Amino acid sequence: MNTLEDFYYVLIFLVVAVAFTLAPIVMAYLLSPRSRGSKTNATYECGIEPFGGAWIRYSVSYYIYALIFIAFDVDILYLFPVALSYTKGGRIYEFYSLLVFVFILVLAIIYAWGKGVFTWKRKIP
Amino acid sequence: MQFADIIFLIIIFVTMIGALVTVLSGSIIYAMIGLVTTMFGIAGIYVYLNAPFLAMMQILIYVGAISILIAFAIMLAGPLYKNPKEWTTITKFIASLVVSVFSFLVFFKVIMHASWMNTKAKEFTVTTKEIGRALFDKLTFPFELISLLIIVSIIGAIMLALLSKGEE
Repeated sequence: MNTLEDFYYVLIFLVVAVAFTLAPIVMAYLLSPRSRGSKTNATYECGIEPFGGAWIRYSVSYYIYALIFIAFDVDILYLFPVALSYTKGGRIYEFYSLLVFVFILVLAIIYAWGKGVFTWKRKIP
Repeated sequence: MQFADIIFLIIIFVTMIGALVTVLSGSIIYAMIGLVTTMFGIAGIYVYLNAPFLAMMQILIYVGAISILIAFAIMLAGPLYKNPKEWTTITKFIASLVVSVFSFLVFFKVIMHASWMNTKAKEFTVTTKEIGRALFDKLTFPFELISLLIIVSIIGAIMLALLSKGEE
């Protein structure tokens, strides 16, 4: 029960988020013109004429970013409880423990950098 | 009915709606969004069961990471995914129906026959702060090993992705 009471503010956030998402849809429904033309259902592309299909295959380079993101997401999961119980310099070994943890993770970034994951080969000159 | 019960019912409702959208949707993007909704609902169940750390894990890993991975997998896949209804045959439908009904019956039987109330165990709750304390004091070495495990997985993933790209 206690946890649920702690999460009341999360509930408020959820309600506000849903309302915030619904508001533009309702506003668009109220304000938009009812006429329908040939381009009413066209893909929206920042106001310019869309070219090519929306269903294209993306480069695998994006996927590597997603994989790296997941690994760092998992490490956030372990850093979160540790950050909650960090005593702000009360015990010095906590700082070194965290330092080693983050340092090992930095090696992953260095490896990816060295492998050229972050450099994009230009296809359009 | 208490307020918490109403919240619980809403969570169950959202979870089941998400699961139904996942299974029955004709478009794979909608199915993915349904899956995200289901995962979010499961996180709500964890909160209800006094496990906030598990709920946070559920949101970070499943709602955040796994769904992103699925989205990228959809983006990488060919136009095969356009209309799943076209390659859903009646045989596949019947097979999936049999499997789901069978597993539902098994779970139903297990849940109904389990003795929930006569456990004498003390109520077990762990706060996120206690987990962090344990990681600092008792489990320092495993804590560092976690980061090693993560870096190994990152390097493996990068290597596999680069190999599939056809690079050395």
